[in-house]
Amino acid sequence: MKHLNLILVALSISLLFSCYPYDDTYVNELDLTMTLYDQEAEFSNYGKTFAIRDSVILISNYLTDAKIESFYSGGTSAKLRNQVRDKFVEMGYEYIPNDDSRVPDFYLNNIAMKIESTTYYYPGWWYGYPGYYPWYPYWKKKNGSSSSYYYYPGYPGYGGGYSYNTYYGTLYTEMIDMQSLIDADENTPINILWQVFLNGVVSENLSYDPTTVNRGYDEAFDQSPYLNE
Amino acid sequence: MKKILFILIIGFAFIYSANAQSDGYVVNANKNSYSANYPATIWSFDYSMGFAVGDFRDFIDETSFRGFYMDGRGLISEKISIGGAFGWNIYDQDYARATYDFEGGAITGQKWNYFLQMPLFINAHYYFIHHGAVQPRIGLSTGGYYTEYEVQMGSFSLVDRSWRFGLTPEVELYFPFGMSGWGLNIRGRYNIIFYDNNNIDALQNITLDVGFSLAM
Repeated sequence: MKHLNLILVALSISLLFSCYPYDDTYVNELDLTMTLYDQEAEFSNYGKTFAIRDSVILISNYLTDAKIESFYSGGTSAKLRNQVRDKFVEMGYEYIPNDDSRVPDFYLNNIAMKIESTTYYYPGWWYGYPGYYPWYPYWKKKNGSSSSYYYYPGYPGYGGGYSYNTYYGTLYTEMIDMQSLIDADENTPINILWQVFLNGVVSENLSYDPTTVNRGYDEAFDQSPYLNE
Repeated sequence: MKKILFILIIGFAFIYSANAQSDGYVVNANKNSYSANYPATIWSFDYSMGFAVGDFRDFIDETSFRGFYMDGRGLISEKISIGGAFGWNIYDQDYARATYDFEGGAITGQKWNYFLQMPLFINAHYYFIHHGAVQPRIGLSTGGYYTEYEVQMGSFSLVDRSWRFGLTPEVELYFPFGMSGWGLNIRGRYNIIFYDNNNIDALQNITLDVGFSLAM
């Protein structure tokens, strides 16, 4: 009887611990493509020519100045900029070089953002649960981030916890009405007609995946049939 | 919310105190003749599965296989017990990469819907019989449900956490393991959570619990 009780108690307790919520998610499943457009714009009134800024603006909260400089000198900026240019050409737009005398219909500006974010968790069933804000990064086990041991004195009973450094990348493209850019002054803002956000978990270094960017732009154009009106 | 918690804590304390006082008398009296009498307390530990019903199915229609439920009761007469229970059920569903339009734009990505319900109950049960190979019971639980509603796309989540009042009628079958005091229990619960948010009105689901009970 004693053994039976022990076995049943063990089984009962094992039920309690068998149900913890863990999810496995792969990095590319976190990729997002979002577009926003000017709802007052008449896209059919615009032609199909565009110019593009000669480099990509890089914003980061962890890259050193030397690293940022290497983004340009190493050719990553040019490669990214040319890929965006080529996607627009592929979609039927005509590229106008910046030194051309013709005035294009649109001007494209690209900004790459690389953000490092650290979060802490502790062994227990609440791991993986979201935080206290309506929109909050949801950390998953396989999010391509590095981890390191971390001790948090507020939870001495658990003997410590772990931290994640996760790197998020966003490639942002804005399609600006070229005439508004020419006419812009203190009282006349530029008119951004279309915005593309490609967001995902990325590596710590400056490399990027051209396939992901390619898919992102395909999805962005699919989302935006009004561009071809 | 604090009031509900306070009432629940007082309720649990009262039940515990009542059982503690009666344990010596009832357990000793029934130790060797349990089948002819009835236990003073019953504890259950169950694995719990969940099935969405109604509006909730529009959010998640997949069966939940992640759940737990524990229940402690004290019999105040041969037929009636009062007690408390605690547990959780986790529902989630993955949606393949798709595009969702909204005013002024669109977003493409993989989506995950997630819902956690964690009831903290007081309950009452009616016992038809206390002997035999199968012992049916019916009950009603009520109290607070801690709920977490979440929609995740990419690295971002929309989260809504709240406590809600709920009612849960239930049916239970108990299969005793001889005179050991232990037994297998199977319980069906119909959970009605007064949840009127996120396009879900009166969140409903059925939970099926399978586990062990210890009658003392």
